[in-house]
Amino acid sequence: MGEKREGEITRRSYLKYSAGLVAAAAIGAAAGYGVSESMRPPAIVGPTQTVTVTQTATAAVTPTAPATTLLAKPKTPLVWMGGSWAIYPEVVDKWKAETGIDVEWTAMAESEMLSRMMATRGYGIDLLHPESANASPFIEAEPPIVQPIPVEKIPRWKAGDVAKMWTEPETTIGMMFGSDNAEYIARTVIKPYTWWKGREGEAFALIPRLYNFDSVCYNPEFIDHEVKSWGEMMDRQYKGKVSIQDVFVIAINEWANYLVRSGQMAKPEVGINDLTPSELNVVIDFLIKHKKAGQIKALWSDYGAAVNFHTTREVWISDGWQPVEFSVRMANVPAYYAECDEGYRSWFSGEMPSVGTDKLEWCFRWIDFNLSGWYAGFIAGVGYSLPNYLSQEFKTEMGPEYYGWVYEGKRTYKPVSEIIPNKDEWIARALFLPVKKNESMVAEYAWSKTPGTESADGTARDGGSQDRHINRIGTWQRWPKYASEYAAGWDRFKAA
Amino acid sequence: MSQRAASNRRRTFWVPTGALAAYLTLAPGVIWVALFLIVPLGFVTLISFYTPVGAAGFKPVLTIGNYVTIFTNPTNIGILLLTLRLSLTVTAICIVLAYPVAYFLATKIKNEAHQTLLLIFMLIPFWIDWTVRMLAWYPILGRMGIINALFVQIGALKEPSDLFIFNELSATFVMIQSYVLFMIAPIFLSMIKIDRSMLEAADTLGADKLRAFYHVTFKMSLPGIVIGSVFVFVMTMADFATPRLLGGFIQTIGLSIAYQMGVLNWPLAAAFSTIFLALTVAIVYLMFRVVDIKRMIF
Repeated sequence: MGEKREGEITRRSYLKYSAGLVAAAAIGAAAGYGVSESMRPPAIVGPTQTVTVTQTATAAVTPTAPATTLLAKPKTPLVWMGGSWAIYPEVVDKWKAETGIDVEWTAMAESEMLSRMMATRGYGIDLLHPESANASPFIEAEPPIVQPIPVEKIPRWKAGDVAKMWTEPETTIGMMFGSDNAEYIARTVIKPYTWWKGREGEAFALIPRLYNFDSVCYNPEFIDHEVKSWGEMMDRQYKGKVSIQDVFVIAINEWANYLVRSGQMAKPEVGINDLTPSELNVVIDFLIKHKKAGQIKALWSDYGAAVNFHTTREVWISDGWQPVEFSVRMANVPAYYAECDEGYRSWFSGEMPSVGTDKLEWCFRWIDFNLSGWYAGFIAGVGYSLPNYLSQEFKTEMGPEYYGWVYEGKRTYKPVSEIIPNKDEWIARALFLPVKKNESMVAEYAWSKTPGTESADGTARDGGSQDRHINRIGTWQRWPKYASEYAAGWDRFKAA
Repeated sequence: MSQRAASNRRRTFWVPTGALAAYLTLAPGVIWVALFLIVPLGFVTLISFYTPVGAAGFKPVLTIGNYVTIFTNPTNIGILLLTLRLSLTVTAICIVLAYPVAYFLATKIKNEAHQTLLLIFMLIPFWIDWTVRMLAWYPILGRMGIINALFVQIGALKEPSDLFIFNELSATFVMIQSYVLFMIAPIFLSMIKIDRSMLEAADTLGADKLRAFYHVTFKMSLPGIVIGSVFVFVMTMADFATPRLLGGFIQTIGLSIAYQMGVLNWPLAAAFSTIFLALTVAIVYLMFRVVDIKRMIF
């Protein structure tokens, strides 16, 4: 062993001093965290920022010119985090054109949102947009990371404009399956997630801004009849042509709904959307059986994958929701969205202001803007619905034909053969787009702004009117008690 | 004036020398690694022993329950073994594919500028966004894709097959394409360091080309193979997005961690992560025992 030379570091000495540096760094990090915590201002519970013109915030606003002149414009953009389904560049551009305020948005999963909020305590973030099933960690976090939204701060949420599914859910939602279904959904999902900690009618927790009725999407090039059941995905004539989603809390809920509604599974102890471990195993065993038979080709993990599976014709039938159907049609591939006997699986999402926001009034303005007639027309083209669809503003902004098509189940004034010529009617109806056009459409459909007559051969929105959709909700997404067991069960399904 | 006096007068500030200078130079890197790697990993390991409470909650009550949950579920053992199998398969195939390419680049392309240019060409696919690159495999491997069309055309298949996509084969194939460059580069760098005169010496001493290749070229390129293997192995172990998008039903440990994070069970996700990390470190350690990586100096 040679002698240590001047300036040479041996491995032993390097490890010794590095360990010292690591320990010093860890102590420094812990000390820094402690200091920063002690210096952090207390969390805000409830809106406390004073605004000089609160009267303006509650005044009626016009669809195109919200009253911004009396509210000081913030120097920094609105910082928004949420699901990718809830934010669009066109909407941000429209908002910016009307208010002069930019929106810095980031699409991310709820688990990442929660991690970031826990780490920052909400500072530097203005708005979150989670899905209702994942909202409870945000609402229940202590110290708080989000704050309630007083109802009066959202002028467009007013009696008469908001659908009964939000104001009287216990007598409205999924009534086709009985009043106990409606009562259960209202008690376990709609009310606890919409309203802030028992303050029903006074303050929102998660203001419903988008909602949908998830179902089955299928390609009429390969399926020559109307699909009427979730179970058709497991029909052996479609073996290897089926895709289901890789979001286990959602997929398990869908299949539990199918099994219960079709009589293949006993009514769950708590609810279809909140299975016990033994009930969960029934659903997983059902899925494993069909997986091993080669029924399911692949799992889709995000919106893009779901669309791609259909546009590449790798799958013929899958679960999905209307935006997927419209995106597939954009690629000139026909797609229908089924009305199933077992009902829809519904969900909603919306904004929650962060406790750390310094632009609370602008957060309220943003939420209200996203309940406007302009936004309703835009988001209907994507495939979503808004809760205040009874509003006259919607009818005025969208026009009678478009509004009737989106919300009232009415047909277009023009026959489908005129909109999409040279195609079999079964295929043509599956190619119609309410906004924009694909290669099969002669032009983007020009919705009439004056009342007219529905064409007997016009095309209607899949599933009919909003009321019809609402009546057929079989289950509603919620956070299950045994969520970890759901994850483990899904692992078992995938590994089988 | 003596030289020492003149030297002392010129030195007006203290300059660290010797070992102290070396430690001070190393300090920023070590502190950075400590703060942003060691300490966070320590927190993850600590959280893995905490007790989960409801949604997104855990209490600092130490428990080994999370590890018991993992190891008593046979599904998890299967998932771990599949992840290892996938990673080792991809690594082995990458060695086989990368070695000839690196050898050709290092020994047959004499011009250094041409070598660099060819390496850059190999980088071009990676200029494309990852998601787009993954989705681009659908028209290649899918039922309506090029490969199926070719096989049907030449009569190898009667009709398009699902063999080439949404299974372990497609996940393996795509991961090989994604990571083979990380194998080519270290092997190439180790080969260009080989002194050509050693091959001449081997020839002079009577070794045939095969023996000379094995005893000189191959053995001296081993550090590059090991480094490349470490890169590819670690990255494939951590890659859960490719199996999710193209692997069909295959379930990897990364996906299990993602699922538990998705249900906000952070202690269980941390336990999965700690096991995963320990396994990866152990295997990498074994790899480094194969060769003396101190010889891998670029």
